[in-house]
Amino acid sequence: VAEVIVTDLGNELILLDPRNGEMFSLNSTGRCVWFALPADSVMDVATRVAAEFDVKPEAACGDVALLMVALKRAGLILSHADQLSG
Amino acid sequence: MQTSCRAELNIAGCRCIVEGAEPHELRWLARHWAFTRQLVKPLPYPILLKFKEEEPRDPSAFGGQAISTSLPGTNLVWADLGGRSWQTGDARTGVRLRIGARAIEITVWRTPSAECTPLVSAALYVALAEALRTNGLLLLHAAVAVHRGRATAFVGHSGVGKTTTLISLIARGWTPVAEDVACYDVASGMISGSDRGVHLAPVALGRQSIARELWCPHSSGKLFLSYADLGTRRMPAAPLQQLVFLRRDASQPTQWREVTRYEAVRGWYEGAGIPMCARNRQAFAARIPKLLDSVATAGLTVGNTPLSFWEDTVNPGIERACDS
Repeated sequence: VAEVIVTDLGNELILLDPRNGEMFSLNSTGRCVWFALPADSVMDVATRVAAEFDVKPEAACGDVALLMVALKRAGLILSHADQLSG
Repeated sequence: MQTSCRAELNIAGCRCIVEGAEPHELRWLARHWAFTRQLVKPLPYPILLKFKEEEPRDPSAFGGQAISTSLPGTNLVWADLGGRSWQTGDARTGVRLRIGARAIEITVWRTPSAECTPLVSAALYVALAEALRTNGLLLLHAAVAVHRGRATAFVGHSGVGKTTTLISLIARGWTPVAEDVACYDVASGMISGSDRGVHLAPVALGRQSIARELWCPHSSGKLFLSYADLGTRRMPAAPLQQLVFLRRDASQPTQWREVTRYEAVRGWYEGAGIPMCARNRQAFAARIPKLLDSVATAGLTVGNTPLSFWEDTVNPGIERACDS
């Protein structure tokens, strides 16, 4: 989402939604997920995270999916379907 | 109605050209926005501030996305007119902010019978804050005081105790810079203020030791005491060393606490406000890591015990760093 303000502290990412003033902190793994977006699929993101942290993509996929659901629920990211529906 | 005039003001080193302002409006601007700032280099964006005697456009006709800006006691809703222009107002008054390529234009509409309403004051604050951000300066909602040549800024929501903390520090020999609003120059590291004394809500009188009879009523509804009557003089500017996040908890003793980097980032956004313009948002977000490195941060819980002497009011870690 374009409005989200991103503060990069190196090993931590702070996301601020100016629409409601809510702030979120992502650790280094979450930071990697954020910078892997936009992506076509959860597996694409998991593959990027796996390369960064030397794990198998399948092992990262579950956590990546959970984080992306949380980010979407917080209104910080949109799915392709959300974007198409405007 | 007195004669409108054109004037030029220096607002924290920004050249501000004012047109159509009444003399009392010019005096208000000069009194509240005369931040002293050591000019390192000319600031690139002058401010063009125009006052107009006409009714503003109906706010409901603005269209555009609505954004809100929060100030102590006030929440303003602005219509986003395209990412670099915003407008707010009611039936009698309105303020428009436009960030142009070479200047920042602020237009104030008010009908001849309208005074400078709280909405206009608040909207002007937001607009001028955005103008200063565009020039690389930050307005902090903070009380600032100097000890050993270095400034500490105390930030927190209204009523948390910034003013009573400042009064306590003045009594301990600290020198005030600002009581409510300070201007921070990120490039030079200097913080400055423009006020002439402290303002306290009547309900907070019991939290400090100065007699009620010495305070004067102020138009804001608060009580006012000048720095002169406090036996001190304001220091125009000083290097900012520390940012302290105040919070009130009557169930605990007054005490220092460490803050996480997340809390420090939140504190900077709460103290400086969230910029309106996307470019300023990105610039501020990019500056924050450097601010965390250059300005120490700490938390202070204002509790059920008195604020101690200065050696307890300065984060011991900072004090050791100064002595080394």
